[in-house]
Amino acid sequence: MIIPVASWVISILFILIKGNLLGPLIAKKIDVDLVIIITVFFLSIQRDTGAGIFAFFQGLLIDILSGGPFGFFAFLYIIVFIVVKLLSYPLDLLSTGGRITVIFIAVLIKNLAMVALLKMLSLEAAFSYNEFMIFILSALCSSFAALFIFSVLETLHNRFSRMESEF
Amino acid sequence: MLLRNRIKKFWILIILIFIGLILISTSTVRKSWNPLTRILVEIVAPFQKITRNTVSITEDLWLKYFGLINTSEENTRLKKEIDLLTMENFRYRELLATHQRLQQLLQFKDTTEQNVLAAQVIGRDPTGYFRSIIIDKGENSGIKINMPVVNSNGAVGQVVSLSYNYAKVLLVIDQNSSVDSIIQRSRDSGIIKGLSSKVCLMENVVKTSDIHVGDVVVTSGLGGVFPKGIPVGEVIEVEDPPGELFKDVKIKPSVDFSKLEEVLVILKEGPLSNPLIEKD
Repeated sequence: MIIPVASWVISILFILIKGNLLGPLIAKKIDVDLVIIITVFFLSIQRDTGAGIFAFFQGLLIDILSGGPFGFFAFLYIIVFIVVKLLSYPLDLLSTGGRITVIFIAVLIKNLAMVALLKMLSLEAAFSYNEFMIFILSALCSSFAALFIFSVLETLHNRFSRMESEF
Repeated sequence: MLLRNRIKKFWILIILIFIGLILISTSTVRKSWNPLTRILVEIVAPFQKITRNTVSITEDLWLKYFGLINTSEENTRLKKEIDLLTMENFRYRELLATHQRLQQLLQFKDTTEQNVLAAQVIGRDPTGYFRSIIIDKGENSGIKINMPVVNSNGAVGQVVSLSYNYAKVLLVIDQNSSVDSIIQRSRDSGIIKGLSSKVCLMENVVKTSDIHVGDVVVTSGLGGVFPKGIPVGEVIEVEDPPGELFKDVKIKPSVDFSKLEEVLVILKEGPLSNPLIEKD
């Protein structure tokens, strides 16, 4: 129970801080998508429903803070959750290679789906070769950041699981 | 049991997708937040304010204080003293900078005939894809949807969502923002749209228009949001592509959006801030 709660808190804090850091420090648009990383983590520890609810509510939080239509990111992250779930059948979410691949594809699909959804809603969405390269870079950054985040979450998960079983 | 579990998960997923679709379909970009969202905003915004302040303090310490620590260890006592004085100095400088910014805002407030309300920026868009800010004033302070937001340098954006104590402002540099503007010198008109945080596009500028690099662009007052004559930016590039109907004009915004801290909301009752439109 502690790990899911901690994951929610970390993700919420990350979203709150990210907006304020985007301006001065982080390069815009090149992005580590912690929501997708944690969604994949939840799926890897067999918490399917938790992963879906997590993706939906984190998307809703982003909706509150972002300038897009309300519900946009909530819907987008549910789509990403389905993509990750489907990818988890051919790919092994417990192996490093499987995780990197799943997160890379999921982040790339999220960004492409975001542009497609914006166009469908008749909103302006710049999409060029440069934008596509930024999407690929974001997907790469997220996959490699996931290695570190997964190792931390897994260590904590194993430790707490052991403690719970001892009690 | 396994089948029932799967059906349960499937239905949760369907419900979440359904809620997402309902939220998107019932939300236009410019609409008051619904009561449930308002409660969420009222809960989230104070945390956003705290993180904003924490980030700001950490940034100040990192950039202004820790950068000075890497000197030699020889005069430890003197260094400590200098550090203390430097810290104090930075605090005063920060106060002075805030004072200057507020004075500029006050001067602007005096020059405009309209009622304005000062607000603090407490959060920015976390996606990097949309360009919006959250301010610490909302419906309770008299703000309405579509009210223009400015600072002493010019047009900042317009209110697109409202809660009781907070409001979301879509910045002029957002791709989905459009501001009807004119060239101050030649009075040629066009529509300003966001391109990046540093550059905007002026669209629908006819071929016969007289526009040069360095021309100042101001609001035309025709869009129903911004009053006439508020600076928007300066022309940095003019292209006349053959075979096209309009000129390509790039504008450098007059406001530095990376350093937005305080803004003024012009409390004007325009046709677009009609509450009936909000409810629709």
